[in-house]
Amino acid sequence: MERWLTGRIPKQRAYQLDMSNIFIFPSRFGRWFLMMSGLLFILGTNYRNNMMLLLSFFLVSIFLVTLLSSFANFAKLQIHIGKTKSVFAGEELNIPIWIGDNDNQDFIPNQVEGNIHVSWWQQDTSITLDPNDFTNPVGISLATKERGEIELPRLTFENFYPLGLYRCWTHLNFESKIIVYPTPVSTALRPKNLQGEENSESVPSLIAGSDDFDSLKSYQKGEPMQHVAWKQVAKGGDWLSKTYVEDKGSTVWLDIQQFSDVDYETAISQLTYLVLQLAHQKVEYGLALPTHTIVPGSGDEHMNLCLTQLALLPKHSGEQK
Amino acid sequence: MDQSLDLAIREISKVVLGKQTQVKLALTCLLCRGHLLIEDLPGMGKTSLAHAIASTLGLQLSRVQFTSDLLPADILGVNIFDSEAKRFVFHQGPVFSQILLADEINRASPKTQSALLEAMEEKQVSIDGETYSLPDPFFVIATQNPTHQSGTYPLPESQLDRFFMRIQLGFPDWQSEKTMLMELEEHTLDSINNVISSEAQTRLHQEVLKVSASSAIVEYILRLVTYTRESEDFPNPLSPRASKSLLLAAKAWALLAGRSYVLPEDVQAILPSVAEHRLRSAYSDSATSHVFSDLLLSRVDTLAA
Amino acid sequence: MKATNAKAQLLIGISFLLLAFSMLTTVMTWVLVLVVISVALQALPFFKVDIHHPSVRTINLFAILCALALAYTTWQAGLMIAMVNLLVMACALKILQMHTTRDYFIVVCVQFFLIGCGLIFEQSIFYAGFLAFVATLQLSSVAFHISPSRPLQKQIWLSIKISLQAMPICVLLFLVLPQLSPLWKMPSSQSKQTGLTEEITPGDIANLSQSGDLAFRAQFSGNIPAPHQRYWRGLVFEDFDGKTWRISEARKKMKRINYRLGRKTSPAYDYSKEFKYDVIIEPTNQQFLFALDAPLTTTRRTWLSPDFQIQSTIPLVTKFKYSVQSYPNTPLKGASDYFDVNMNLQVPETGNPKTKAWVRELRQQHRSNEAFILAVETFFFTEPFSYTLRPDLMPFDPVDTFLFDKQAGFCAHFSSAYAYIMRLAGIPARVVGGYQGGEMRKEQYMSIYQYDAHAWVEIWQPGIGWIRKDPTGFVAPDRISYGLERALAYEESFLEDSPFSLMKWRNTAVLNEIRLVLADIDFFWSKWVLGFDQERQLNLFRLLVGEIKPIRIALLLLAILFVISLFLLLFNYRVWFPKINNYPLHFYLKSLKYLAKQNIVRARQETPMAFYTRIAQQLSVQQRELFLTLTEQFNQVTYQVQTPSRERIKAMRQTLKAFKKSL
Repeated sequence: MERWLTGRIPKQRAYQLDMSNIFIFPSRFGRWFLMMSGLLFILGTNYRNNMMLLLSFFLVSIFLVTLLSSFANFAKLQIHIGKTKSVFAGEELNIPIWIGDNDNQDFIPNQVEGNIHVSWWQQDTSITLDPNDFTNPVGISLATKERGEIELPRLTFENFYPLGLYRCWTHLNFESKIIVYPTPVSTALRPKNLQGEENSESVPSLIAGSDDFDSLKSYQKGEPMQHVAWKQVAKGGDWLSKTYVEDKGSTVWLDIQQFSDVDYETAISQLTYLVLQLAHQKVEYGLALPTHTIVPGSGDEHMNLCLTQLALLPKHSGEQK
Repeated sequence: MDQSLDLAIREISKVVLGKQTQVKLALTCLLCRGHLLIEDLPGMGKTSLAHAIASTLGLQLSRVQFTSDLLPADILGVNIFDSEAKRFVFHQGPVFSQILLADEINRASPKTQSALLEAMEEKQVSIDGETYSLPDPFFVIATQNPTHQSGTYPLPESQLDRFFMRIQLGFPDWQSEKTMLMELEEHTLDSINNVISSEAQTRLHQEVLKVSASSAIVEYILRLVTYTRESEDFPNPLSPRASKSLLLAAKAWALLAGRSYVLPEDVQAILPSVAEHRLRSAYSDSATSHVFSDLLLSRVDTLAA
Repeated sequence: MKATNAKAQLLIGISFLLLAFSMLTTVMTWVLVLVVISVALQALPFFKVDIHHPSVRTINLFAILCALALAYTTWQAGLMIAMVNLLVMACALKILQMHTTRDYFIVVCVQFFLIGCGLIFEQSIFYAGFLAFVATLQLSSVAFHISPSRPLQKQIWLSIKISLQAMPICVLLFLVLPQLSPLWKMPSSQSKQTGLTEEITPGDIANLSQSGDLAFRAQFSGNIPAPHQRYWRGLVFEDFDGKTWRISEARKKMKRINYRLGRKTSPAYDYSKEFKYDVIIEPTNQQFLFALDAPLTTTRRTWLSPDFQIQSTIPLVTKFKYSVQSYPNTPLKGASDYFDVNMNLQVPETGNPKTKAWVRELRQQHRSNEAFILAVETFFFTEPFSYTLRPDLMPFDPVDTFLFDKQAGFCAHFSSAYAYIMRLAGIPARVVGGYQGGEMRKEQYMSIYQYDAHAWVEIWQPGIGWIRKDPTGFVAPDRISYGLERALAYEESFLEDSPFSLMKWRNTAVLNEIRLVLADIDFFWSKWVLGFDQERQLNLFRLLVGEIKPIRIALLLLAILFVISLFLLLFNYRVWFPKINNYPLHFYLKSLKYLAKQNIVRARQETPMAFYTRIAQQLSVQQRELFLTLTEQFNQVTYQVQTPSRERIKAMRQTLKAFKKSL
């Protein structure tokens, strides 16, 4: 089934629904409806009642008429995946799905009608979208269990327009590189180089700077005038000057080798925790992993890079060390 | 085309040679009452451009050189105790001017940067519970060195959004630079005349607003911004403020071209300046290129989706 | 799973209410009350009234109670009535607990089925129209369920559109799908039988005469019988107990045997005079059919009995059409004279002494049958008999009372008395029930109403057979020639129990015209829709393909299939030919398509002018100019003028045409 689907609906970022990827079959209601028409036909025949026969044919005709409109409506859909924010394992991913109508502007835009039900393939819980009343993108949540690059399951879109007699559906396989970061696990254990026992140059220390006001001290000649606490001076007191602190981090190295006393996955989780901590403290840090070495840096991009590399570490390389 | 605008471009070009486009963009920005960020290497004429614009528009300019130890109060002003009057007197900082030239804005600490940017946004300054309005018009022309230079604090994305436009000057071409060198003494700031009065500026701003943008244009802009929101290739999507800026800038650009309606060409012309700094992340290493804008333009159809 | 929205539920409730009340005669009153309550409860949330909904257990318990009550109340009514009631009741209870999508769809299906049930009991075009309205409501309800936020008018328009699209396909299917014979015998609705009954007591037909309902219609081809010839024979009553005439048990038994043996009655028809006609009879839930004497029919599922009565093989639960040829000059002579004669001499031993004495006396005076009959006729002529719809009650010795005391009565009184007199005199006689008269409409068809019900007498003449005698005609000749209304004009009792019947207003020209037009519609409907059968279908096939051969039928069916597919494609033509919204853009994109064929392709980000500038050199001078014009026109309309005028679009169309030609 999966292989057949892959052939039919290959991985893509954006889909325009058409013949090749829409499945259509009478819905359960449609099947009941047909059965009921058949029953009416039998009844009409047995009672020699032409009106009942007409009714039965009328219902069958409705069934036929809605087939194409059902398909044509669903085929207006354009669906594509948006950018997904990475999460930590155990959290829920929010997959943004953009749903649009076929909006060639030289033609009257045709709106898709009827509720659209979106669910993960072979999952029962679905969310229902009303095309007349929703905002793009639609967030679809997906629970994550473990770190790493995850393969999105197929997403099923369903529509029953116009009269619920047919179920139009498709299983789309969105191409997306989604990285699930390892779950951060807090650790009391500070990496040794953080505590400055091994190489003291890389201790993040508080260096006097001009960033955050810290305290007042008596003014000493030569200090910049901007640092004079003018309010205090104005009140007639002694000249005081403000001191500022700046947590200008110096470089820290995080090395997975230092976490040899905990198991491999926990080590990764703890490293994740530390990366987050250091990034928050705006400390420059580098990461030494068995596969990669990331040169020290700071900022969101650097953090994301580190987290990604941690996430992508091979699953069972503890033995290699 | 409005004569005064033509004249203004010619005046500014006396000092900034061979940078017709950048001059026009800068003027566009000011016509839209937006703040301008000029980004380039030192010595490229950023400051000259700012001075030239100020002179052309006849606006009062104050210049602040941003350094790492510059404090918010150095820009905004401070309350100083007047011993004679026995009360605090507010001493206005350089921000209280019509054009504030913030040189090398990324050298100041984030705190100072944000103080300035807040003032830019609010057009007023609050100090010790008192609120002081800034003069009208109030423009900030900030210059910035490429971000990866040492000792800089890159402006965060949220702050960059407050700049209406970001332009780059680039090296002048051979001929322009030769001209500049040959006629060194002629191209001084003193030679620039005030060609657009303040009334004319107000009128021009009104005219910009009156330029008509058809629904086709608006849809083009919408397609552009929506694309940045949907695609994974754009880490920072464009905000509704950005789309508003795009439309306004396109209108001003159309006015500069002497048209009363916007063409897609106008949108394409101003897009790199208006959108690039909002699209890229603060740490992107893109001093001169328009990677994101070019990508965006190539991805979105001008005519139809 | 939240089931469905309030609007869908409200609509389905309303349609259910309409449907249940349209079957007023079938659905028990207490079931109707249940329907009203459940729809009201279900509709409350829509009006923002919050009530505590009964729990599932309560409803289940209630359902069991209801089922028991239903079993008790419908015990007598027969299986079909019980089934319909059960369906309505179940639907009413289900509406109370429509929690899931599944529940909702079950209700919808049951209601569509109920529409079908409604059609068992009534098939008039007006009822069909009403049901079409109900069906539209139901479809709209489903549409609401599928797309909840669309406005009501859009939903109704959608269901009407789909219904209209379904119509032609429905008609095609109806015309070509084979009309099958009933697959098995269905339980008949033993609902009240209408029209004549299997026994006749003087006074009965008087009740029937108060009804202006249609009994049947006949469409003649060729001769139309004169009013006094319109004796529609129905039942033959041969058993008399002094009060009531019944169909004789012996006759019934004999008919059954004959029917089982497949023995057909084939009298010696006299083909000298012929009436040829089709009859469409309203459902009576009985088996006898009506025809002029002496009938010959070839319609399937009918059978001619030895008393010249055409019978249907199954009770008439729906309208039924049959074709008859009648040969009025044929002597009515059964297979067994002996049987007929003996059965029709039987008289009760007691009762009516006066009549007995009188007959004995009269018979002594007139020994020959002819003379006796004449004498009796004279008696009726000379005595002051009157014809009335309001006869007095005659509980004891009714014939005596009628003949010698009251002397006022209705056709049944006359016939009963006459036949009794004949039998007493030793002349075999029997009462025949049927209809006499009929209203002709534009030489097209004749409508026979219930008030045309009539009873007359047949007496046996050895060697000839049964001869019709109508004693009513002696007293009230107008009844025979002009119908009941004229005959009763003096006492104004015509349809006095139905004051609103359009029949009563036959003398007001406009109203009468309306009545007749409605009758026309109903006739057309009965003939072409309700009366469509295998025979007509075969005729239609013959008309279409000539001689009927399997290959031709197969081809016809294929052609129909093709036509249906064509319809389906036609209804969705917008899929292939979407409506053009933006003509300037459409034209410009078209020109780009033409250029693309020349391998000149616009890049996505190129503006129209930029594109022109880039490719100008690749075009000839003429093409260049045209394309520049087109580009400028496009730019102007799209970006400058914004609301393109008709002229500009026209100009652009012309430029495009010229440009296409130049390529």
